[in-house]
Amino acid sequence: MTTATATATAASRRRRRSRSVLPTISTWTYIVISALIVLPPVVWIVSTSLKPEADTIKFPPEWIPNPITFDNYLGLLTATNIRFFINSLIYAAGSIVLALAISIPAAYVATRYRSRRMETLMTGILVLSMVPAIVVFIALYSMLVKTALINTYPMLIVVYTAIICGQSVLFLRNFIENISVGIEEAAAIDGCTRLQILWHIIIPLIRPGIAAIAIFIFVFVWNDYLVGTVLATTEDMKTVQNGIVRYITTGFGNFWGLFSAFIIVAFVPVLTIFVAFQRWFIAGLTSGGVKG
Amino acid sequence: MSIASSPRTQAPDAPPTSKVAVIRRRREDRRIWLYVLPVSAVFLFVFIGPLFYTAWTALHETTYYQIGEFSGLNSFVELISDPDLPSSIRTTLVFSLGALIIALPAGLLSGIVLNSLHRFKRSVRSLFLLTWLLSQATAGTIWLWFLNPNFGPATAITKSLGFGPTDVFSSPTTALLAVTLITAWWSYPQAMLLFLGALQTIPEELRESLKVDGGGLWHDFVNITLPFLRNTIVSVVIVLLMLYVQMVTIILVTTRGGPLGATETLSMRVFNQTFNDFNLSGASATAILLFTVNIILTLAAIRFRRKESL
Amino acid sequence: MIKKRWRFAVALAAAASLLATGCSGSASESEGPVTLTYWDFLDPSQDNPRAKALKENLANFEAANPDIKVELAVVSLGDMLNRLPQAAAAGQAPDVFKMFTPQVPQMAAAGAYSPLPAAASEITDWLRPIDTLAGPDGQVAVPYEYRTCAFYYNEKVLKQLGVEVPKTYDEVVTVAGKAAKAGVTGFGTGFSDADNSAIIATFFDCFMSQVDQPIWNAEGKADFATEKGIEFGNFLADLRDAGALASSVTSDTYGTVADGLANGTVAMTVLGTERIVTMASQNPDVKWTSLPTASTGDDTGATIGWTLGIGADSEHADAAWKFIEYMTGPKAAAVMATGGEVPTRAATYEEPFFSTPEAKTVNKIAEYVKSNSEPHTYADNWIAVATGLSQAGQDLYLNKKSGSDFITSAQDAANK
Repeated sequence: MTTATATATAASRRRRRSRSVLPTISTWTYIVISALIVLPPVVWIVSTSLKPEADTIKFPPEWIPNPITFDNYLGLLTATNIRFFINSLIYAAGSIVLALAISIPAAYVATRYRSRRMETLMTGILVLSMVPAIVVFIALYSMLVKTALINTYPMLIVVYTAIICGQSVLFLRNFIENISVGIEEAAAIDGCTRLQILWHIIIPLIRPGIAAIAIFIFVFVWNDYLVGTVLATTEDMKTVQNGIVRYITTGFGNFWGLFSAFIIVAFVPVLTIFVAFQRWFIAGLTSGGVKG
Repeated sequence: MSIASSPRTQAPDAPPTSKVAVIRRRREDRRIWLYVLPVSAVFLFVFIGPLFYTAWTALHETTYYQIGEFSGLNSFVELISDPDLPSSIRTTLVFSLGALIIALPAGLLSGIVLNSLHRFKRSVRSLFLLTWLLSQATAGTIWLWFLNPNFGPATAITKSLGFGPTDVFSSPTTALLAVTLITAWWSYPQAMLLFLGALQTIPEELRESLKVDGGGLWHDFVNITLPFLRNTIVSVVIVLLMLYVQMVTIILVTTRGGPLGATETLSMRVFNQTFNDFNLSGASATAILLFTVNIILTLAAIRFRRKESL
Repeated sequence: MIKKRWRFAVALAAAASLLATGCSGSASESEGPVTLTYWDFLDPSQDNPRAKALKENLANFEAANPDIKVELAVVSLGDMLNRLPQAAAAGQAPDVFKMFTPQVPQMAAAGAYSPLPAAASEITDWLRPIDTLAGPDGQVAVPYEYRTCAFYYNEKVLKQLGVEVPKTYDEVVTVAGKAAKAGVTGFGTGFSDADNSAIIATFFDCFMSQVDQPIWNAEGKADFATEKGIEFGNFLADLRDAGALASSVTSDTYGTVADGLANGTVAMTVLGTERIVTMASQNPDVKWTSLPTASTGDDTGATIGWTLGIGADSEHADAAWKFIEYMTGPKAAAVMATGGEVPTRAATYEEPFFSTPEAKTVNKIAEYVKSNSEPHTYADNWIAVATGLSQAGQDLYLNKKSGSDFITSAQDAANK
């Protein structure tokens, strides 16, 4: 390196360093402003959940509970609430299993055996999954309200699965495309059937994709409110989100403390999964965008 | 067939190596459709069936949930001549575009900010994603409590500033404004995630020029980043618009379409007509209208994707 | 290949079993032990006196009737109004369900009830007449608890204003205006339809009873936009003009007004008598008395309250009636009274509880219901009337409509 280039590099480095101060200030200003917009309602809920009942309706409101009590969290442990959590778990787990079971084969075949018919089918799935959700739920409700199908676990699981499997198929397609066909062809020559290739080769290789989708499905089903409202007609089949709104609509007396505690407890699973699996989480969510 | 030929796909009509292979391949080809059968069945049951049922219901009279006699396009005529329809459409437009105008730039800026961070990346990402991790029902109800006119901190702030209590949900204009803002607040991380994906694929040369080029940040942004993101921006707009057009939960848990129908978007109208008015036929007609809107957006999305892959 | 077939088989079996569990719920036995499905809005797992009383009564009933089991489903009133017609049409109506008085005829017309068995007519000591709880096929429900409207006021606020307790609605407007100037909500009401328009509809029901204005005419059409009805609208309009309505009135519900009364931000309101007991413990400054009078009529409101009835096509009508008879009977009603509800049969008041000092309030309320309220008939579209009232109320407040506009648009909405 000659002295000229060295000076030039040093100069550009100096320029880079001085230029990087300005972006940093505006970056952190933005972050602070975002925090001021995002955090207050959440902090307020946490604060309310730790207050004794009488303090929750004090005016002017206090941000820091004094005294701090966990009574609200204990008061949550009713049979109804626990049932909500169990229901949501069943719906989520059932949807993950069913969605993976039907999406993986479809994604595999759609990637490897392209034909015009296959593309039409995929486009059809894409288009249909954009039917407005509310339309689907209400039609299903009126169609099936007189049968024994409504208000059952299988029914809701199938509905949840249908909503997300369009996206799952497309997402898994991306993953499968990245696997070189060579491995499969070698296996085919060795005498493996398509099924065995799928089970022994493809699925292990797309494990990250499967994890991402599973997490995405869990969050989607856990956070959903409408399906439970429309298609679960008795309290014992409703979901955690229905339970939250239930406090607002049928809360007797002073319920804000219990309501806040319920929100926090309902949020914990999603938060935990997010914190533990951030990378896979993000991967699943960016599936609607650019190919990895 | 060598490994070097078709690298990604296997055309079903590749030249066979022997007659036995032909037969096996044809039988296998038919079995392919078995793999997509479950997905198709589920879709048939959940999407196609209800879609036809909705169309069928819209063409008949209904009492409660019984389908009565054929009434042709009556329900559609009723829909179009309903004096509330223009305001529902206007509300939907105001709501969707209003939330879009906020969520799109917020998502983009958050994505850029996040991308430019080297330290604290995980924490800031968690902060930005927080509102989206909350469910829609949670987002609506925690703002309901925060804005409570009797006990909420928002009221405390406005009262100390000399204004009255925050009766946000009691007046038509503020109710619509509140619902729009809450939806934008909840949904901007979704835009951010989509932008993040795109921002991370900006080629190195562009990244370098972002840092070193003369002319200032804004110049870099407008002339280099934005054009590169043009496709993603359109994609995000479509995704967000479809989300807003279909939004029911946030409105349902806060205002349920009131006061006086000020927050009744088309989706909310479908819900209210079904469960409050028991007017299944009318609700189905509105639903078909909603579906048409979605189709237009979807076609725009598909047309755009095809253009992108050219 | 074997693995995949095995996987399919397992999945199929799982699906089949899930479907089976889903489907098996509706089977019911007609001999031997009987299980009654019972829809109530109270959640026995909640920690309040009414829910506790319900839980105790259910347990006692099952203990006294070992061959009858009661399966309680917690369904909110709004949900019940939606689901009952559908459930009845599908043959899946519950065996017993609670329903609020004004909506009984509507549910009866929607086919949700079975007529009560002959044994029901053997009970004759109801405190008020029960023939209004009927449908096209006769008596369908019996009252489970009674309530009517009472006028609540914050004594401390009124004393600070130096005014007497208002005796007429005009006086209420004057006092409410003064209270509003002092910084509280003069008169508490709400125009939200989130809770089936409970507060405005109940107030309307009582007011119409006070002025002897039938809500429907002989043909079943809503017909209350008369001079008397307009007086109701004018009362609301006057309150609005005096600044005495809460600024959140368009989204206020029964619950929010009751909360406001309890924490002293509402000076006066008209609520049901079921709140008297809890209000006394929440805010001792809040007192209650009979309703103010309008320019005509008196202070006799409408007798309303929760009722129990047998669901359509119930296969256990006799067991269901046994349950209803127990729950409205003296023993269960005495337990219920500890939760603040007013029992409906004279026989109940001979239970030992009602001679104790704790029962003083309940006795007083029962007396008030007997002396200051009358039940009346309802047509089958109360929900439309209630919704019309809340919508008209929002219009009145937001668009400054007049009292006559209010009552006319409410009537028109009910007749749509």
